[in-house]
Amino acid sequence: MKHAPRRAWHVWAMPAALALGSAAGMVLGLFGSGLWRLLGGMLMAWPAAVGLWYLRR
Amino acid sequence: MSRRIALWSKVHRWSGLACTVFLLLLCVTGLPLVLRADMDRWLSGRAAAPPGAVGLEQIERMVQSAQRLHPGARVISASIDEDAARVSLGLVLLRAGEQAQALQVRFNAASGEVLTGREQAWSGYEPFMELLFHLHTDLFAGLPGALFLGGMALLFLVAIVSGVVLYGPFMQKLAFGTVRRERSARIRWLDLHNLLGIVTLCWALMAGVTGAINELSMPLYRQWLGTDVRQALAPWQGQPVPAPDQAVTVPDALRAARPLMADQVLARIMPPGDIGPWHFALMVHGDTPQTAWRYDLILVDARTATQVQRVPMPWYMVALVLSRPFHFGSFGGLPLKLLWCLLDAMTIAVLGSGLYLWWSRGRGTGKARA
Repeated sequence: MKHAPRRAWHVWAMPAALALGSAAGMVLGLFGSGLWRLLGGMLMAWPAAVGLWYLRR
Repeated sequence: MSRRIALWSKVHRWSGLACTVFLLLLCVTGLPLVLRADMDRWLSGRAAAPPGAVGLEQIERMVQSAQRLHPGARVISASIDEDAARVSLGLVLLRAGEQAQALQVRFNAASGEVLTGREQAWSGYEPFMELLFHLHTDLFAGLPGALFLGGMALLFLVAIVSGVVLYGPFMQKLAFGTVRRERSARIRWLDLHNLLGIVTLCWALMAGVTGAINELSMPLYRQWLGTDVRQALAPWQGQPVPAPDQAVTVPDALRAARPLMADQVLARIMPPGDIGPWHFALMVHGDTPQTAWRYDLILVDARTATQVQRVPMPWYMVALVLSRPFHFGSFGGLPLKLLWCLLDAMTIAVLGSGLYLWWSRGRGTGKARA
């Protein structure tokens, strides 16, 4: 589990991807229609799914 | 621990502690409030209304039904709740020598039928939801309560930002999502706090910002009334105010406003006296996902319904209008609301674990101190 000190992007890559994906999902979900709205919903759900997956691991 | 980290740690600990109890209250009361309209429909057995189900013709028919139900009464207001599939009409009954009597008739937005009996919703539901709503928005203390909770939302944002600053140093030697289950309870809860805190980061920031904006709704609304709306009403200053029985009817006001409502749908009709004493005020918004957040106010002169005027919303009212669907997840149907509930529950876990970490400080290793 424990690693040697990692480069900053290793620490921040996943949190940044989750936050940016979620933000993009909120914009698409509110202003998009049809498939864009669906994509927005999936992007918004992604952080919660990642959290639950790591919790159950 | 460097001095910079120690300083951010203090900011995170004390900003978090100061707002945690109130944030827990907001998260717990927010859970049922997210599902408020859906629960209202489920309890009363109403089907969801398709978007745009309530047009001007439907409103006119509802007005006629309400007046048949209460002969002699005048419909003076209307409110359309698309989420709850419900239209509420406000009536006033004027009798010579008596005080005006206020009445309300509710309709199923999908069928246009008057709601009766069970369809009105379970009798204990609405007072309970009102209680939760006031706990969530102003702690039953009006504007001071709202501003206090807005301050708590700002402290929550400080706790989130400082938490993000601390996340890097704490996670430098750990893989993303690590939960050290074999270590002490305190370390385990610290890892859970970090994991759930970082996955809910964007949602929590959004909830904090939109919550703070919502708490400012009253001062923002007053500012709008005192500036743009006041300017629009300036030509009427000093003119006689129409008596209730001199005002045109709601259908007349709707027909007068219709030419200004291309590609817009009605959200609310306010009677003369709400916005200004000389006008019916119609709140309208766009009818597509791209324009649904664009609200305008249409003023219809209540005496003759001949002069109609549009008052666009300034940027701060647009921010307020946009913050509501974001805050309560009401822009993507039931699946989005359930997602909001899940993220809310995760935030409750972050707040609870934060409290536990503070309470158990000194019992774990120095490294694990939050």
